[in-house]
Amino acid sequence: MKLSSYQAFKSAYRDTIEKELGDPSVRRAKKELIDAAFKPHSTGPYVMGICLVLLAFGFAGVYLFYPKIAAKKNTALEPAYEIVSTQKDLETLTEKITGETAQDVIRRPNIEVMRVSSKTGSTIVYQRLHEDTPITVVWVLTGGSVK
Amino acid sequence: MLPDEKELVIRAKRGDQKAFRRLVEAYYEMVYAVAYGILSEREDTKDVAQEVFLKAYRQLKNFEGKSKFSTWLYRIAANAAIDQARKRRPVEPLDGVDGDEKKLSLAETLPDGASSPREEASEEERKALVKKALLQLSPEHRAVLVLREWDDMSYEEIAETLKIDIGTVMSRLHYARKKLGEVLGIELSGEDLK
Repeated sequence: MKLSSYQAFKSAYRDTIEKELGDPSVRRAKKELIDAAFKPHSTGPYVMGICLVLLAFGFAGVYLFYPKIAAKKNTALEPAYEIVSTQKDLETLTEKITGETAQDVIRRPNIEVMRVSSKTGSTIVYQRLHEDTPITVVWVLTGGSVK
Repeated sequence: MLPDEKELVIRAKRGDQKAFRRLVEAYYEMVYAVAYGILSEREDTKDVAQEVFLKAYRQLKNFEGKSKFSTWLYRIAANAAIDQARKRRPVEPLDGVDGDEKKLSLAETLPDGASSPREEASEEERKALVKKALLQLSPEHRAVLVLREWDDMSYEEIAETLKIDIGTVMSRLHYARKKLGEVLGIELSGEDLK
């Protein structure tokens, strides 16, 4: 039985669209649209973000606390000082103050000279406790002794 | 319609891309068919289909749910395809379509049910003929035709989708079929024009 021609057209029309929908390039276009434009959120960026934040905190912690930790360690390694003499010894300074003798200097109430010893050698501490300009001079003599 | 379509739409409106993916997976072919029925060109149709879903995603917040989501999507698809068709240059008329001379008859190329060694060739010819015939219609007439002949939509559904009167739907459909009949040399019956 022959179909009416318009029915044949309708059938051909539907066939055309069906075949078009079945074409691999059309299916590919659908997949690309879904994958590119509406892909689900991945956790990768969030994990990366958390790692970066933790890393930043780590660096901040090192930057802030390392000097204190290092200072404590250095203190532990420092040689213990033993004060050998607190006597106000008359010591010869490398530079004399013009017009003043060493005795004049030593008699000043705000000057103290100490002789201490340490593992590195004899150490002389000259300290002038002036209100405005406190001065502390430390000589570490690595060889011989101070008389 | 998807069984959980309403829920998917609500979730997609909140920005759930996974929900919108499911809508795209469900309706891509429908949108493509409508666009292809109007454009008859694969590359243009792919572009329009992509544009339709991107537009739908952006404008989802404006979808109030008064109509079905598919109706809303059909509307975007039909309008996008019509706009694209209007941008293209005018189509050349069918070869030999002058008065009654040399009209290409669809009946001559269609098989009568029996298989033929030339079946593949005639299928390509048929496809080309359908395409050429459709391109004799305006995009607006093609839109009404594809929704009726491909989607089997009622006049009311077509009117709601395209935001036109039912009377306009009927008149455009009548004109489209009559024009196809003339172009293809088909004698249409009263049933064909319904």
